[in-house]
Amino acid sequence: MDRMDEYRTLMEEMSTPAPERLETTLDRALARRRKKRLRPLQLSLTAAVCFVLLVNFCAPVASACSQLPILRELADFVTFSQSLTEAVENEYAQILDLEQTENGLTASVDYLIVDRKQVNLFYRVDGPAEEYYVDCSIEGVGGGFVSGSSPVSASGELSTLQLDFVDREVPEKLIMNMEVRAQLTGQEELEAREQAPQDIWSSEEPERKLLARFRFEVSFDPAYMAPTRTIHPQAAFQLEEENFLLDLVEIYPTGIRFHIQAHEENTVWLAGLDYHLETEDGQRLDSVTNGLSAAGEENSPAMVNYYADSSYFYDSRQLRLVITGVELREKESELISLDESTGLLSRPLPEDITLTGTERQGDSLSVTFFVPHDRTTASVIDGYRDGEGEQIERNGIATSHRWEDGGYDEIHYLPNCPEGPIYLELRYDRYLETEIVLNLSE
Amino acid sequence: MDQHQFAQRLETLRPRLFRIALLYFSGSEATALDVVDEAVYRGLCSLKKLRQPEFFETWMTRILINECHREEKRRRRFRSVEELPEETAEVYDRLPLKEALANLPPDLKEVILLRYFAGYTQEETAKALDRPRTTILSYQRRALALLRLELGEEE
Repeated sequence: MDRMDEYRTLMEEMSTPAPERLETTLDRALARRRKKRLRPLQLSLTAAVCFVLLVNFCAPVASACSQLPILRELADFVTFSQSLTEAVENEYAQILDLEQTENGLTASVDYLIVDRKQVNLFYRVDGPAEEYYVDCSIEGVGGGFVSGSSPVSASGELSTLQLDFVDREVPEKLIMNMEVRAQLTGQEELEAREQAPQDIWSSEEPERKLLARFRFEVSFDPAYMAPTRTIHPQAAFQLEEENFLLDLVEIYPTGIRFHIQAHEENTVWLAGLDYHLETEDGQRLDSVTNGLSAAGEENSPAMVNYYADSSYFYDSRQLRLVITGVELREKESELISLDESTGLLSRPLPEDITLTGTERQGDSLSVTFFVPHDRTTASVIDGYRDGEGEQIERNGIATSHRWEDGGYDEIHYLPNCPEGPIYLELRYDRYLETEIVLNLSE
Repeated sequence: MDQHQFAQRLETLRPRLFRIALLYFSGSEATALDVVDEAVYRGLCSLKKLRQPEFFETWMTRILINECHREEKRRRRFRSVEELPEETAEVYDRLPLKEALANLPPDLKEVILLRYFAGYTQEETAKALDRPRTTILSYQRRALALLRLELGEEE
């Protein structure tokens, strides 16, 4: 076969239908973007789903290994994260080698990457099926962390559970529970999705048969909890007439966290940043895209902590923060009343968002909006208040796509909503392009 | 451009992005899908920065190519994948086209992928790769010669 024949064959090969997974790439991007910024409300939710399972057995924990050769399998797996890639390359990862077997399934926790603020547990489930639905939960740490994992695990393949400790440090030990369930077939999954709205925050899932439970106790070598590098740059900057101060930068092996303090007289909150960091050697460090990227503080929608790839293994001494865009949220709010009996608002919502219904079950109320694809209720509906002006808790948001209508349904759950007047609290965001360069030195 | 338009335009572009990524990584479907996922996510997050919607395709393609670079960089740290020296055309002759393509120097590979596998014109390729058209033409000639492909240089 000459080169031109090869070219034609290759072109034919390329014209075969693309894998089905490609069709849902936008769905994944949309879901990921919604998860990207976690506010205190969502942080507490994440902590709340950490429940205790029955204790089946407990495995001893292998002590941390040091000076390991680069772990090829782990290195291939962590390419989604520059920081974890560097950690593996610099022999910072540990082998745990914990293994348990139950009902013909073997679960293992093979590797660990941990520092003061983040735990990455790399596990696998091996059995006769191609895939398993693995629900991981953590006990023994008392909350204060955000967890992330992909519930579907291919048999025998590595998966990861990432825990970010936001307002506290990684504890000395924790217990990782794994509930392994049968994965639904594609058809079963579709049927389940049609019956229930997709809810990215709720822990409700379609019924899957429980196959095995595992419980691993993992303790952490204090050597990996060593103090991190901390910088207090005290770098002030101004956006329009608003004043901000970059006051703290912490550099961990698994990431950089920086804190931005806003002047109390500002009329806006800092709701988001587009930025990257640069080392003196021109190495670029981006904001985290596969995990916790920003966190807020109690009683404010402001995002004060930002998370980026780490410079820990570059030994950089002159980091620069380059801010290219900011999202600002007005502090002044506006209230719109909702008449639960008629399902009507005192005036229309902005940005073409419409209220499509309310449903009460006892104390709980669900409020459904139709949202055009280029909008998000998060940009305007900041919360709910009762007739006394007290905040009504919103403990979950579910979404369900309606591609044919050019948008999606978004359902807000208010678990303890008193009967009587209800108000939607509206706040507005705006995005500013900018270029602010801050040197991260003392 | 709003999110709805993004979804519509992406639907047409999606297979093209996948093909580029698939050939970039020598037929690795899983890697190609991961890279397209990442590019779509970054595109979605940066939508506000796209000032001229008419350049959506080349803009997204540039994002994809950047993601390919990042992925390639990560992979190279752990595997001894070396580019073949450009001078040794005979080395490429010994490889099947798909592998020869994957082993081209990145600049040349990107031009070939966009021009002859994704169907971009020279001008679109220049825009997507942010290089002058003359550079694209020069890379295209060098790559075609190395691969011994007799494909037209015209649009």
